Amino acid sequence: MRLMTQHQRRIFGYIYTLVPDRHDAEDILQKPAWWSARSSSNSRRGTDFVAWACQIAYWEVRRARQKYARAKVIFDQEVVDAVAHTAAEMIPEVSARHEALAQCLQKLHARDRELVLTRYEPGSGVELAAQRSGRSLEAAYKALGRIRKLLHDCVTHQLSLESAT
Amino acid sequence: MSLSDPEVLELNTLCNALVDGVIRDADKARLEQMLRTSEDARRFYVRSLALSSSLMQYAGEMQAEAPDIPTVPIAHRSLGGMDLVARIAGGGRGCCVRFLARLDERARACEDG
Repeated sequence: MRLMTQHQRRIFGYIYTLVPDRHDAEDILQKPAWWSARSSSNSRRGTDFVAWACQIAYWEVRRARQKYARAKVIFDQEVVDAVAHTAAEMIPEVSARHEALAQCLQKLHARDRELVLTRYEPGSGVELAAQRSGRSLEAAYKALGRIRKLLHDCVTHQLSLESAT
Repeated sequence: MSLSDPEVLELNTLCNALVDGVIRDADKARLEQMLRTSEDARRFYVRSLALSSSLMQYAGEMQAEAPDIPTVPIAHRSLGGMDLVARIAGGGRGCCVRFLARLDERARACEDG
């Protein structure tokens, strides 16, 4: 259970790539099958646990696919399988990118940082972020796209610096 | 085969539309096609979605600091709207500063390995 709490972010990130909707991805984490699987998690450790938990998450996504097919966004099974394979391989890289993002957030202009963090607050969204920052909805979408690109490039640069040293 | 610059731009636009929940059916079909046929597209997609997932986490941490924002008793509302705004804004700034300090600590820990 402790391992689950410790690695929940990574597992959520994996699920989110397969079911790219925050509420649907959170819903997957709450499935009864998932909870019962947690009880046997104590015998596993670290990266082994994450790989194992992602396998369970993958099957839970498959099982729940019919439900999520009615949702706004879901890919066909072939694409889900291909993305799941790539996402599983990239778990260590994604973790490193998460840590590097902390530094990149600091480098953002305060107004941009406030916009992007408001956008991603639980229960928030682009509309609320636009409203709070005094931007039009269209301007907020554009700004968020620009900020994500900045952060993506910054994280990539940060990791290339770290790997060079 | 690596992605061309126009493909990266297109993929970036599609991923933005996806995470913001405004992707159109035709764009979703295009994204699926790219993800089905290109490993590089899938890697870009995973990084892009992971960025949003990480931002949810950091934004959640920042919001978790929110209880420190002073609650304004109903009686104080008679002080006027600006007073209310100032109190909340003041608390929000404190929350932001603490959050940035935590980011800084995290960044230093990362640098130290």
